[in-house]
Amino acid sequence: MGLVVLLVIACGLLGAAFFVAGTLGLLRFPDVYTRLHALTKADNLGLGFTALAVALWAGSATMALKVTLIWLLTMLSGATVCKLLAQAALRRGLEPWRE
Amino acid sequence: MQPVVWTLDLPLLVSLVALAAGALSARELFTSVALFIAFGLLMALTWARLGAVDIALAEAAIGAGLTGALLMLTLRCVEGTAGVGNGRGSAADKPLSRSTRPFVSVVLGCMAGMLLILFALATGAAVWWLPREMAGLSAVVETQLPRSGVKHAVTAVLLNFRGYDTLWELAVLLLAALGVQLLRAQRGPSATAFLRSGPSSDPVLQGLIRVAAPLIVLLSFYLLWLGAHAPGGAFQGGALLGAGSVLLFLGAAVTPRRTRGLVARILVSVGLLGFVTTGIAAMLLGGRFLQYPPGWAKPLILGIEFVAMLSIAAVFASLFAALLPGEIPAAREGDPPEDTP
Repeated sequence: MGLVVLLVIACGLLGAAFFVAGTLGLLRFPDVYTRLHALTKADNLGLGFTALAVALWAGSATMALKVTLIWLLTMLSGATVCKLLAQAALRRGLEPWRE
Repeated sequence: MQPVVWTLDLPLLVSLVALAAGALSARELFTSVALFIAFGLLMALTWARLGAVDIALAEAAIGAGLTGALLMLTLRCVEGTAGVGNGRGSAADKPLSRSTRPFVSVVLGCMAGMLLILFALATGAAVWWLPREMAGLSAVVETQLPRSGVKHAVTAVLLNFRGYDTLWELAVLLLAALGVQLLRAQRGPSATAFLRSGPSSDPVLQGLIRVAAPLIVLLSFYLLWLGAHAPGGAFQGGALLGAGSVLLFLGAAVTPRRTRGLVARILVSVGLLGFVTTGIAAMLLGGRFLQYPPGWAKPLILGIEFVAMLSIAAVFASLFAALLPGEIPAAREGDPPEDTP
């Protein structure tokens, strides 16, 4: 097994771990705002590591570029949707959770 | 079993069935729509796993994207009318069928149930007796592919071998757009509050549109061009362009009124018109309907795909705009016409 394969496995596992953490937050956190926080923050990193794994595995510069573009665009739309959802929730009068 | 079957395919299959069941049985319509969108996403993945990349692309853009947006908007319209919004299948919704005509509903129910069972049995039998090796037409398509003018089998079938089918698909899309436009005139009064409270002027959304809209246009033309030798083509590019127009509507960069002008009408119908014109021109040149003259197949296919893509995008845009309540104030009417209808 070459170094690249090990790197791909490590990046893939790391990405999966972030996705699991984000999903856990989505399921367990108390209100819309904290759930959005968990989902969008963790998934950005999770997708980043997954994209890195895919790009390394593909082994071609154009494929790596395409995957990077997908990651950047997903982050952009994810951040936008997160903001819009949180704003819509605020406008509907959903109180942020307080301990 | 191969590892990929039980690690990827089996969970995919189980989630698909679970999502479908959830979408059908959810108490709230909103939940149904949300589950249906997730179903569309997994369906796209499933098509990709089956090697049908063309359908996967179309499903991702239409099933998971555009249909979701259309259903969400429809939900808003439905909730505006009294008594339909919450829950469904309750007896109060249909006073006639349950209370006053029990006999008719029982008979109808029995007939429907029997039909369903028959249908299920027939489908099961058909699947059971499928030949192990599908003969299909792929061998024929493969041998005729060099004559089709394109290098991708799906595009060759859609635009050349079975161009007649695709022609009528465009006609169906045009009819759908026309029907929704007609219905729109009968819709009740709708709140412009939707757009006031909506996210249209949100700076973050505007920023996203500024980055995404040009990229979407570029990508849809790339998909169109790609269709000649790889998965892609008019339907995928058109769906993407239509989704881009939804983004423009949401950001109020384009007014719904744009979908009812002369330019919009031309855009909606140009695909079918171009297709029919090409077919008749082929007849005048001595061939049959839609029989491309030798050597002209590729440019003609690309031309038809180009106008078809514009029409498909315009149909989706007009479907979406017809569901938008009210008019956005014509603040940005002076903008140059977008490439998205």
